[in-house]
Parts: sequence; structure tokens; C-alpha cells
Amino acid sequence: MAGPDEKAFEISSLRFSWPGQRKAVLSIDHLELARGERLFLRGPSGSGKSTLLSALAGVIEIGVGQVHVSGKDIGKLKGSARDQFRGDKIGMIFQLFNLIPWLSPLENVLLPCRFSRRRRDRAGADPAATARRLLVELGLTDPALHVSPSISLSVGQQQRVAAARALIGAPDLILADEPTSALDDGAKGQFVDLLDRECAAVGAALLFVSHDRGLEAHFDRVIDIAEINMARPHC
Amino acid sequence: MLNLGIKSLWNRRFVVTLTVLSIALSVFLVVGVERLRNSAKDGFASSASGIDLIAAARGDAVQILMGTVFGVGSTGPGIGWDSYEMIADLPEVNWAVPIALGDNHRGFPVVGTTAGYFDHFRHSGGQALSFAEGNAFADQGGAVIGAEIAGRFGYRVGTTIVNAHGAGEIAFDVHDESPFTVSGILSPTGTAVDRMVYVSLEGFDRLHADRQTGADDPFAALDGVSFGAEQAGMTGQEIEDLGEAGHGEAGHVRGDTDPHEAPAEHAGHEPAKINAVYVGLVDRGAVLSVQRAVNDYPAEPLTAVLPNVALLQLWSITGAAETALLAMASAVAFAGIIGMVVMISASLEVRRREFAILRSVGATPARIFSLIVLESVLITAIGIVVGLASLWAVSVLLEPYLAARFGLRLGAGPLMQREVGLVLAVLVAGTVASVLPAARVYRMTLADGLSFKL
Repeated sequence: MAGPDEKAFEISSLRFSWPGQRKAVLSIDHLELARGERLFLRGPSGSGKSTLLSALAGVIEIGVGQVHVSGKDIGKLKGSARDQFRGDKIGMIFQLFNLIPWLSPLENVLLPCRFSRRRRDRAGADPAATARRLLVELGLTDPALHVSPSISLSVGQQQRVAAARALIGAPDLILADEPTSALDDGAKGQFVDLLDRECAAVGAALLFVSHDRGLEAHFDRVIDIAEINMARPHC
Repeated sequence: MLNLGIKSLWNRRFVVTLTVLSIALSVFLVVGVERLRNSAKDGFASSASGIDLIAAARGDAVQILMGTVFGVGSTGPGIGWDSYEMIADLPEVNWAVPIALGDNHRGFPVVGTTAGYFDHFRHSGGQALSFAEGNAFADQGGAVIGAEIAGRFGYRVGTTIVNAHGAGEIAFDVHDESPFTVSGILSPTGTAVDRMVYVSLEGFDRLHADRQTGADDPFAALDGVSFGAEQAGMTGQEIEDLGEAGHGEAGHVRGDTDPHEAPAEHAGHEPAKINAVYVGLVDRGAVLSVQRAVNDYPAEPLTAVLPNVALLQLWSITGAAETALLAMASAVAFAGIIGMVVMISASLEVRRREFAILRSVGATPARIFSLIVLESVLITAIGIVVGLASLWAVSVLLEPYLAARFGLRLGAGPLMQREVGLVLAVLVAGTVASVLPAARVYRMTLADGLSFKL
């Protein structure tokens, strides 16, 4: 087992239930992800996947247990420090509507650099150039697209912009919450390939949550959440 | 952050523009009303700015002011010529202009005075009177009229006018036996001067010279008719007739002609009684001692009024109206800010996703809170700038009209201290009001977290 510094995250004895509800949503004894490792977490909706991601991102207060991200116990971080930590260490890709509509794709990609000094410093001397390079590598080769209104982009293009935003400044961990569910089959594989390649390029670990078993082959490891989450919230 | 705020607003530019316009309208009205109010007050306070003291028979300062400067009401009993001479001879006095009141021309007050009046009277912040046409009366048959009278009745230099006894709108006793010829028309001032007729003291007294009965005698008109036949010089001239004959209740003092004793400064005429004296001092610092000297004059009970003090006193009476105006303008500003809060609040639901994204890249709820406040401050600030700019433009465009018509000088100059206060009040109100929706966003972002499902 890797030492704490070599782990992108480590969850131990996590128990979580939403405030006012007795039934636990998450009950995970142990889950860890090594640096640079790509994990596919499979599970139907309602199985606690999104809650797990929220716990890792530090947006919910976990009751029992520890969540370490990059060696840091995020349960011990307070308020804005946790937001700052998230901005520094984690890149996120949502299922849909990833982009801020009033910012161009390029500006969307640069958003983490606005809020995180670490990400800005790691994005190179010219973060805008890095952002453009990422966009090109993710298949948005037309420079005009980088500055056109975000809402004019197709869903597939939007997801690629979201991936570029998650990747810029080389965060330690990328959390992707069913980012391909709105894409057609051909685009899905291509998107995951690109994401894999870029994660490897920046050295980020990837936690990819999906119910699409067809994508499992792209990952180092595949876990069904039912195997690790004892809470079985959907039952 | 500012960059983000501007871009976010630009994305909603249509609604934001409407909100900015409503704030701009608020600022326009609040500052505009304040400026009008100040201008009206200044114009009012400087209605008699060249005059250091107004001396009249003992009475109330405001009443004396109303009677003399505004030609409204009466100054009570008249004062003797000796009192005028006493005042004019005081060493501190630079000039003294006698004022006789009580007649009207078609309801507009007629003032008997000397040509010195036109040299010394100041209005609207120290501007001297000037003649649009002609010049001051040279003899007892001449009259100088204000711009409004000239405009309303179409009088020109050379027109013959007839005055009536009494100060009211309705003339009961027309002095058609003593017509005047317009010798000059004053340029518009926007003050009571525009609505006055000036004649020489001698001419003023000539109206009453033939009359032997007391002013309050209801049968005096009958006497007037008998003397009417004597008057001459009307034929062949345009007569502005008032028609009705009768005798009015009057505040004016009947003067008696006194053909001998002719001080050069009064064109050879020395009336028995006048109503007031405008006094200019050599040194304004002596104003209180001169006031005391006049008030203590043993031969006749006199009151010396400091016009500026009395004007402010008079203005304070009308204070309720200005407060009401300001209250109205503030209500508009309030409505504008409410509109902004409504606009921002209404957009919050739609923007929840936006806030979740911002949080995912490391924005704290506090920063999202400040983004909302910043947007409001921007809207308010732009609204203020637009409002002030339009006020400035309107001021520049309307200045000539307002100055001539109402004597209001809005001035496109920088903000006065009080106006800065009002503008700041709007800005602060806009900022404080935005805390409401911002606080809601704060709670929302905390509760939503990154809420992937939205």
C-alpha cells in the first residue's frame, strides 16, 4: 500500500447521512486512489456516487471517518480554507452545464487560475496559452471557438472545455461525474481517451463515475460502488 | 472579480440596462430636485442681493420684504421724507433709493422710485439690472417695465400705460388721468422685477396729486371722475385701459406734490411720504449699527430689515414644499433600488448552476456573496453616472430657458456637498439593499454545494 503522500485520496471509515435523516447514504470502510491512477467507479444513480464526490470535494460535512485528499484531512479544514484547497488540488467535470454562460470557453478554462494561486502558478508563464493548448489537445482546434459564446458550443465541445478547465494548473485529482452521459457513443470513447491522456500528461489522478460499463476498458481499475458502500441508500 | 462582475452583468444587459435606467432616473430626480431647490433658494435669497438694508415703517420684517421686493401686500403706513433724508445722510450709507408702493398696472405692482434703483438693485447672485430696450425714465411721465409685463401685454418702448390704485389684481380706481409712456424694458431676471412697473417718484405722486380725499374713502372715485376731465395727453396715444372704476382698499400712501425743494438726486421731486428706502452701505460691516440707528430713529418709528435674513426667514415658511419635493424624489430612488433588488433576486434561481461551478473551482461562498454585491454596486454606480450625465445635459439644454423664465440657474457645475451626500446615499442604499439577495445566494451556495444534479 502506498504511503499517504503517494495517494490522491484516501477514505477511511466514512459514514455519512444527510442532516435530519437517520439512514446513512455512505458507509465506506476504505477507498483510495494512488497519484496518477485512473479509477472507474460504477454504479446506478442513487447509489451514493455523487455524495461520495461531494465528500471528496469537501462540500459536505462528513460525520464519521476521514477523507484525505493529497495527504490532507479535508474534514479538518474550515470553510473558505476548504474551498481554497478544492480550487488548488481538485478539478471537476460535471454531467452537464459545466460552463459559465457569460464567459467564453477560454475564460471558463482559466477560471481556476482566478481563484487558485497554485493552479495559476502551475499553468505556466502564460496560463492563457496553456488553456489554448489544452483546448486544442482536447479537440477544439478552431481558435475562433475559444472565444465564441459558450452556449454556442455543442454538448460534446462543452464537456471538452470542462475537461480543460479541470486539467489546467495540474490539480492532483480530477473528479468526473458522468461527464459522458450526454454524449453519443462515438464521442464517449474519444472523450475518455482524451481525458486519460491529459490526466497522464499533468500527472493527475482521475476518479471517473459512470454507469456506462462500455468505458471500463479505459481505466486502470474498476470498482462497483455496491462493493464498497455498505449503506445501500437506494434500497 | 470586477471583471467577472462586469461580464456577468453584460450577459444580462437588457434587464441590467433597464435597472440602470431606473437608478439613473432616481439620481436624476434626487439631484435635480435638490439643485432646483437650491437654485430657487439662491435665486430667492439673492432677489435683493445688492441691498444691505430695507427701511420702512415699523413692522414685520417679512411683511416689509414681501411688500417691497416682491410687491405683495403692503408695508403698512408710509414714512416721511425726513426719514429718507436722515438715512441717506448717515455717513455709513453709500446710496439710498426711495420706494413708493400701492398702485398696480393690471394687477402688477407699480413702484415709484428713482433711476438709482436700476443702478443699485441686484438679483440672482449679484447681477445688475439691464435694459432689453430703451432706458430708465427721464421724466415723470416715463415708466420702466419688467420683461414679463412687456411680454404678456405686448408693450414696447413708447407704449402708453395707465396704472390703477391699490395693490390687488382687480383695479378699482384707474388713474387714467395720469398715463405713462414706457421708456425702457428690463431684461428678464426671473425674479419679481419682471412683474413690476417702475415710475419716477414724481410720476407716482402725480397719480395722486389731484386727489384730495383719503385713500379709504369709498366715494373717492366720484371725485376722481370730476378730475378726469382735466387730464391731457392721452389723445392719439395707445391707451391701455383697465376699465373699471372704483376705489380699492390700499396699502399705498397718498403722496402730495411738493413742487419746491428739489434735491438733485431725485430729479427735483420730494414726496411727502414714501413706503420704504433701499439702502446700500459703504462698508457692509456697519450693517448692524446702521440698522440700530434706523430702528432707534426718534422722529418716526422705523424698521430696518436685513433683506437676506428676512428672505431666508420667508424661505423657511415654504420649507414644507421643498421637503415634499425631496421626499418624492427619494421615493423614486427607493423604488429604483427595490427594482434592482427584484432584478437580482429574480436572476438567482437561474444562476444557481453558475454559483456551483464557481464554487467547484475554488470560489468561497463569501466571494460569491461579494460578486452579487459588486454587481449591485456596479449597477448603482453606472446608474448614478448616467443620471448625473443626463442631468448635466438637461441643465445645459434648459439653462437659458429656465434662467429667463424662472430665474433658476441649475448650473452644470460640479456636485455640491449636499448633492454628493445624496449620491452617496443612493450608492450606499443600493449596496445595502443588495445584501438581501447576496445573503440568499450565500445560503444557497452553502446548501447546494456543488449539487451535481441541478
